[in-house]
Amino acid sequence: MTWTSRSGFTLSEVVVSFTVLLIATTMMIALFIPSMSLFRRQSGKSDSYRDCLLLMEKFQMSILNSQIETVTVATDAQAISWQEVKDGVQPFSGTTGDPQMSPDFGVIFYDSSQQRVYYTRAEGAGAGPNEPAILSQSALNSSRNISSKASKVLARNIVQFVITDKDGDTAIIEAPLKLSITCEIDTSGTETNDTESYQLVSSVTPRSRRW
Amino acid sequence: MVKLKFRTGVSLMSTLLLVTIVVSVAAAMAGMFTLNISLTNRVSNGSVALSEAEAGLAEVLYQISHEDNIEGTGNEENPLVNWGLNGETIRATITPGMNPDEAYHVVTFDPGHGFPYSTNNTNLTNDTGYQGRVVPDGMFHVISTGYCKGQYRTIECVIEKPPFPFGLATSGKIDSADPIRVLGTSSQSGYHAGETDRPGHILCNSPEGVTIRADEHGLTSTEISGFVKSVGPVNIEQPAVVRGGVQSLAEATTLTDIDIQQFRLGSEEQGVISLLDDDYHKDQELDVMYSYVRGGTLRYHGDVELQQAMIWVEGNLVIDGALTGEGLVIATGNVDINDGANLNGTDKMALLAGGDIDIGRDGGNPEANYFSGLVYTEGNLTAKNITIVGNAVVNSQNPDKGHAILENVTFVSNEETGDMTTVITTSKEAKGGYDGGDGVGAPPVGDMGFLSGAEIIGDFEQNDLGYVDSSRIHERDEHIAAMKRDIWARAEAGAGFPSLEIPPGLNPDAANLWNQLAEILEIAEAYHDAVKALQDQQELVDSLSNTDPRKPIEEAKLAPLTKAMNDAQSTQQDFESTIEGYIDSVYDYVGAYTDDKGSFNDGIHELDITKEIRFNLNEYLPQSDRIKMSFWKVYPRRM
Repeated sequence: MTWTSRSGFTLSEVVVSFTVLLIATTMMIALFIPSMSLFRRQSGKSDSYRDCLLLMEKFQMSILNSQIETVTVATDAQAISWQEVKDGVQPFSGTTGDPQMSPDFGVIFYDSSQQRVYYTRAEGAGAGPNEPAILSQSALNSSRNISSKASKVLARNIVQFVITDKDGDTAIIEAPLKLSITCEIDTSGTETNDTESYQLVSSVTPRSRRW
Repeated sequence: MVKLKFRTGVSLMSTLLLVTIVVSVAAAMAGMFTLNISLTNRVSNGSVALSEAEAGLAEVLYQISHEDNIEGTGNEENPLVNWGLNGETIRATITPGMNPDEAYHVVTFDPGHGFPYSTNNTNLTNDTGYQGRVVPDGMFHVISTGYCKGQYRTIECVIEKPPFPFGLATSGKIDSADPIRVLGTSSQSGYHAGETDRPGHILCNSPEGVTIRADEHGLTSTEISGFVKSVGPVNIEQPAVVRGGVQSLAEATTLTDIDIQQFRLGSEEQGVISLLDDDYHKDQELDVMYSYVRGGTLRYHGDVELQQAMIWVEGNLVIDGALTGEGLVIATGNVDINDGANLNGTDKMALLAGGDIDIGRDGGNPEANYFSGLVYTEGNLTAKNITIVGNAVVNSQNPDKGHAILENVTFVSNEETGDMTTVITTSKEAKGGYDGGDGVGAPPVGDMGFLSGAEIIGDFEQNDLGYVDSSRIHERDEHIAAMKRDIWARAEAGAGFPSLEIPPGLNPDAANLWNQLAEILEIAEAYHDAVKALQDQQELVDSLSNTDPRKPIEEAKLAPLTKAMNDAQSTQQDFESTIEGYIDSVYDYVGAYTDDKGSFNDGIHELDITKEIRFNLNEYLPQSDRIKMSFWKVYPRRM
């Protein structure tokens, strides 16, 4: 019993060890908390960068593969539609080489209240496969429906989304089409009171052209 | 002992828990970073891969536009390109800092290659491409695969050399006082049926650019189904639709530059009708080659229809009516066409001018006034209230010229006109044309009023009978029979004979015909005189009594007169053969000249000369400018 009692820690030892543990823990927390903050910031920056890139890639691919004749830019510059080219074995005409147009239109639009950019399709709005068609402003606006199941989120935390063209007047489109977006993520916390934003501008000219 | 172990375990567990939490959080942070970096890298590498694929496509474009690789057959629009027919493969890297395994592009025309293959169908036999794609005749189906660090981007495109694509192309400014329409069609007959299946484009090489104003009454709006490309600014007042968009402040594009002097027709050239008057008052139906080299202004006061005809004018040309049909009109000076025509599915012509072209009229409706074909001017083009179905090119070396001044005009770019072959026919016998037609200057034929008491032959004003015109060309045998019969009968009647009045100022060919007619009439008149002399002598003899001593004397005169009459009568065969020769000469003469409608082909002389004149507006462009991509698609993967 005495041996057992002698084998325990003395009060001094316990005090010292807890003091050391406290110091070590404090040091770890002191290191960890800022790194968490740093992580949040970097993560936000990275997320915004990724969202912008992915959105821009979708925009670029879609517009590159379209015909300018089929493009409509909304008057508020926050939506764009284009007629899609048919997929499949024969995406172009075997006699003229013109793209075989799908009756469906692709639409990218921005909802400022949600700060989200969506992609949706206006199905069946085009005519036959040989004639490019165009969505009217009213048809484009009516396709901007965030509650539709067809609408899929392309990017979040977008605080600025502007589609314009070379001269800024999209009533008559002057290529290239220019998309400017800003993604902003709130990274504020105990250590920071900040937001991370990333801005990207991309110009694209539809490549298929009827001659 | 148990207590000691318990205390030690708690401390260890706490440490392990703390370490685990810290490691987990760190791992999650690292994982998220890695994922984001991976996504970012994927997008970045995809972008590089797309650039590589574009580089492969650019190499193909270079190769197929290289003169050494073009042989000039195939079909007319797309000559045979021999590059891409022998399994050629391009593989290279353009990305700096990356080795050929990290980034590259591949384009192959080898179906046995590991990558998707491209197809050259300019030889018109390779019409099946990768994955069973149907490749249009004369075109390329190109698949360019780009790669960068695990990311593929594949571009699939169709490359062609379409006909000249511009409805209106100018070196000077384009200025429209009101909205214009620019449409396109693949064929004249298609447009006639209402098809506008191609786009209509506008090109302006002037720094002054394009100005299209709105309708002040708001009744019409500008509609351009293709694009507007301009070196200068483009100002199109709303409302307006430009389906193909606007390309302002663009680089200049090579314009069609036709040397109109190459079409010069000299009056001495075989098969060319020399236009000998300045004014032609009737509607014209021109069917051969015509040359006006008088240096002034040739004016047609009515419509002009070309029937595989060609007009060369050294000077100015004015057509008060419409210009229609198939053919070629070239003037070294200005051209005014003051009216349009109804739309016709077969009209196909080229109108070329060294000076200005003014086409259309005040107050017309473009939907009822058409000009079909190519319009090319080295001056200015002024058009109003008209639809031009074809291509209009305004190309002047003079910086103050080359403008298109428009008012209420519709252009319908016609793919057929961009590469058009016009067939011109004529005859080796063609000589000249007068306002009045081929009757002018030629003597009469047929009965010429001999049995109805005509006193003067050749008096155009008084006895306008017997002149050969297009309506009587087929009466050749009747003319011969009537001349033989009626002139001889008049001579035989012996009761007076018309005199011949040869008009002054005839050309040598016509004067020769009059001389032949005079010869015929001399024969007949000699017979007439012999008959009359015998008749008069017989009357004199009959009037004398048998007791009259003069009677035997006068009777004795009858015998030589009878002989003279018989001799004269015996000339009837010569008379008739002379008539036949005369009629032949008159028909040759008439046939060699045009009628009052300007037509040559009246069945007398065959059209034994045929010329084919091709206007390929693209041939003036460098090969690289002729290439167009009609289909282009990028896939975010390997095909």
